Amino acid sequence: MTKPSPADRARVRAQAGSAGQVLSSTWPIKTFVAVNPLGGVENRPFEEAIDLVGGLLGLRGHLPLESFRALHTSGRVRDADLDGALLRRMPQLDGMTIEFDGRTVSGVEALRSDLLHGPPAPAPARRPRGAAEWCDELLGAGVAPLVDEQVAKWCAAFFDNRQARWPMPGRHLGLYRAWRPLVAHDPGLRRLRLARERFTGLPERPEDAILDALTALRIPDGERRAELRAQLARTPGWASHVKWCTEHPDQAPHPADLVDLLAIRLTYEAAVVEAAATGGPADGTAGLRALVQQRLAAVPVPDPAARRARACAVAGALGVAEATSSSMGALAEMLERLPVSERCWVWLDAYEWHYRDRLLVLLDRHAPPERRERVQAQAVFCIDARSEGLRRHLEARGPYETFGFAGFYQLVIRYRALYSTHDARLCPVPVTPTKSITERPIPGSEIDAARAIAVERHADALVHAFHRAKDNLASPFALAEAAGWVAGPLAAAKTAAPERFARLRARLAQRAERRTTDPTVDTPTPHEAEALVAEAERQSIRAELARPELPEDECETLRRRALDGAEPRLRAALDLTVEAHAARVGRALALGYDLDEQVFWAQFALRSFGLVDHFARLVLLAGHGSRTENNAYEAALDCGACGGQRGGPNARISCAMLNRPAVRAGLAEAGIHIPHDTVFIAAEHDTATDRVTIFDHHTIPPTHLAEFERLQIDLGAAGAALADERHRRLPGRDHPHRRAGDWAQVRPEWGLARHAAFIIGPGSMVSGLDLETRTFLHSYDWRADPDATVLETILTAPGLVIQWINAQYYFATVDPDVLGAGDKTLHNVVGGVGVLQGHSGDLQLGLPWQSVATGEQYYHEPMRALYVVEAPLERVEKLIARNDMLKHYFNGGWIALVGREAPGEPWQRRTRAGDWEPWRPAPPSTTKEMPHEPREPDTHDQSRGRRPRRRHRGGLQPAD
Amino acid sequence: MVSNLLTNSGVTGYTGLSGVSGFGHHGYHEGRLLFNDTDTPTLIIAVMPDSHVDAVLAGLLTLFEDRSGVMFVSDTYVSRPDYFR
Repeated sequence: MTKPSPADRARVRAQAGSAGQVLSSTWPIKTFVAVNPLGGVENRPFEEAIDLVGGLLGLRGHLPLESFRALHTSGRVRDADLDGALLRRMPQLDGMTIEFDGRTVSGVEALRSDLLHGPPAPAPARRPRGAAEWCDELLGAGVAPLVDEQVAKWCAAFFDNRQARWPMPGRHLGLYRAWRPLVAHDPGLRRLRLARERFTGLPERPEDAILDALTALRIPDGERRAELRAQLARTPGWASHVKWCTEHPDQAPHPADLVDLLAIRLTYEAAVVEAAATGGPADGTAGLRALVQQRLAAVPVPDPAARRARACAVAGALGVAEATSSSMGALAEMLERLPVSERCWVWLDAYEWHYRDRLLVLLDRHAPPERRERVQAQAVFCIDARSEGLRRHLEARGPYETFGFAGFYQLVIRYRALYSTHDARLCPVPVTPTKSITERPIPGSEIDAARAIAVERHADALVHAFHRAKDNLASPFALAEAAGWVAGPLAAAKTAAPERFARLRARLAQRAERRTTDPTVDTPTPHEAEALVAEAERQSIRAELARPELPEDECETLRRRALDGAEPRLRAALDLTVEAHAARVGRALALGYDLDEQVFWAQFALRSFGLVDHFARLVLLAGHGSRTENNAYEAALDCGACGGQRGGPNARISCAMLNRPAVRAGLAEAGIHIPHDTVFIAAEHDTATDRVTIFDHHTIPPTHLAEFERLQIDLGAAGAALADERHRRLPGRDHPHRRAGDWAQVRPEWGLARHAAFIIGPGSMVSGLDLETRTFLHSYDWRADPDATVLETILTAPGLVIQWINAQYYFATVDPDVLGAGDKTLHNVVGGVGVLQGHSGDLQLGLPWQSVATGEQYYHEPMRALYVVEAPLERVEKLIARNDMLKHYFNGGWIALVGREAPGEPWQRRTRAGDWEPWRPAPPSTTKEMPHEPREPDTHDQSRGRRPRRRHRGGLQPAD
Repeated sequence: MVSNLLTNSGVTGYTGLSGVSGFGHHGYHEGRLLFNDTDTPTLIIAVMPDSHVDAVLAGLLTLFEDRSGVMFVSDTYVSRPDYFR
């Protein structure tokens, strides 16, 4: 074939990039991050995006019609909700009627009858198809799944992250270039009945391989982008992970991009299609292409019988046995105002506004409590919906005031704990960290710290060695002899008494967290940077020599000798050279924040959640995380605002800054006066157990100990009450405390299932209300935000994270086969990257079934989020106008928005056209109202039993 | 995607400017530097020899077939030509 020009290669690279736009990036499972699986097409309206990606992946994009109808039967969606949804979609229906054999029927009534009784729309189907799929469709070849298998196999080998004992060679060259020299030796080619020669001498560049394959498959220029898109859609899980590698080359262990993946896939496709098409009815790839074009050119003809059947079904539902043809024609014409394919959007709207109406009525009727002069303590929690319960129970315990703020505390940081060897990015994933923070032992506790580091490193090494021995072919027998006496009883204890085991583990974790360290909050001077690095090097020497008690002066002597060229072992193991030392000092100089930055941050943070006066003596800032056992999806339960990690460090750093006198002096100049007796204390809420751990006890002055102890007791009681409340919502009998330590538990907590709204307004707006842990809460006072900068940040940073979480839960519920990760009991973690169902196949996207449902019952209610904002509407509108992202979300129907300027004013609903109109709830039902809170699901606990694999049987059964 | 295209077309480097603002067919783009990298207009400047230009243009024009973007191409003078080959 002719050698492609650089322009041809650039063109195909751009086409591959465009084709990948329909997919979202998938982060490695260890830092599982909620993403909108349709994030690549968020710039399109919701329904259009689903139509585009749905065609590719075979999505439905909403609950099945029979599920919606079951919700109507149960009372979760009422006639009034459907009428409201119809009028929101088609205001012109208001007052419209048809004469129907002597009866006057309103347009709303006719269409409501159609929603309830009309024939269903055809099931979704994948389109367009890639070359091998066409080959299967037209020739019955069955080759596309074989190609999927090969692609998945090579991806699993390439992306393995230190799990395989024999890693794939050449991975530093990139995905395609590592695969190219190996594929001809792959015995798997025999299974495909392909000759090895077909795979020798492949082009060096992946772009050339793609062009060769597209030419061989006779794909015309104008159809190449669609072909590439269809190819990626065959293994959307791996493609999404490759996309993440392309976008995050700094974090991906080995280089890979979509061009590599497509080159591999299309090389296989060209070979198998050519083999399948030769000699058959298609007579080669050219003949096959002609058949494809013929099929694509066939235009579907509307079925007149379907139109009549729809009208007949509605007529029957309206009680009309016989009707004239003109009446039926008028009815059919009325029904055509709502195409069959769009009926489910009306159902979804009705389903959503049923909940939203109830929430807004609750907020509307709420009388905010009067603000006390000085409360006992104030507590700031993450906006996470799970924090709402803890805030509610804490406020019920005494004179406490609580706030909600994004759990990363607006600190965009890389963080390295004293005991860790790698940095964690503790901020929302769309943000690139700009600062680095580390930990250092407080003066006088260096020896304790060295001991702790030694223990941690030894424990890590032991665990690593244990797993290596376990995974090796020969050593498990010796391992059973050597370690069985300890591993056996430990496993038995974890199985028989998970709650005690969890308690022990929590105690150990608390002990570790009580160690006396400080985060390096301040940017060091050159002298301080030198001292900081020297201290870290001494700690490393103690750990390397396994001598935690090594005195400071001896340690320093060893360090200096190593830097001077002696101590070869230490030099090699710890990179103790002058150059490496200088580089470390350089990095240390970039640590932390200078004073101006700290004052700016403090001012912004305090104004963001509206705490600018009436400071209590104790102000608690809490992050959150979830400590569970044997849970590949543990990160999915951690703090989303911290990039799927625990948020405790962000709270600690925030407190360290807010307790600094110099920062307070700067704040005072900006008009925020923090009393000298106010102390900020950091904590972390474990959402699996609802226990709260307080950090940095050494920073609490003796004068505050009495209040602190009281706060600790109340936090303990609030957490216990919340755990009991959650216990009632979880299936089975196990208490959350037991679940957290149970290594066979597939549902340690519900996470963010059933979340439905994001409320941005003063804490008083929700104080005292039971919102059933369904709402994200961000405290906000627009009067303290004159230029709306804070609101803009809330809507574009936490607002974005919540939209991603919302979309992930939504699609994992409505399309679990494609955008959910399936049954946890069948999961295999592959290469530390993600999970497979069984031993091979595509990487699973999204959340496992156990995160959104129990048995065949959905627990999560798949609704698009409602954002509720208390702020002047013209400000909100101005922010939307200047942020494309917000325009896409609110105008495209990804998120609904209501607002009001002050308590007592009527809520205004923003339409997708950008108009604000008064919100009017659907009239109350005369029939039974459905309770908000589900009763305890009566299905069996799946951690102990087996659940049938697939869903959708009989549609959504409301848990209540 | 643009940076991936540039580096794979043999371009030796580029400069990215975040937070670009302006006015165009779709109104103002204020280019506010928020906490969200995904919604920030970015200007990418790349200098390359003539031999690379056709490939880069072909790639960028393909990208612009289904997304918005503006491209300027002009001759330039550089102090150290070796840097860009």
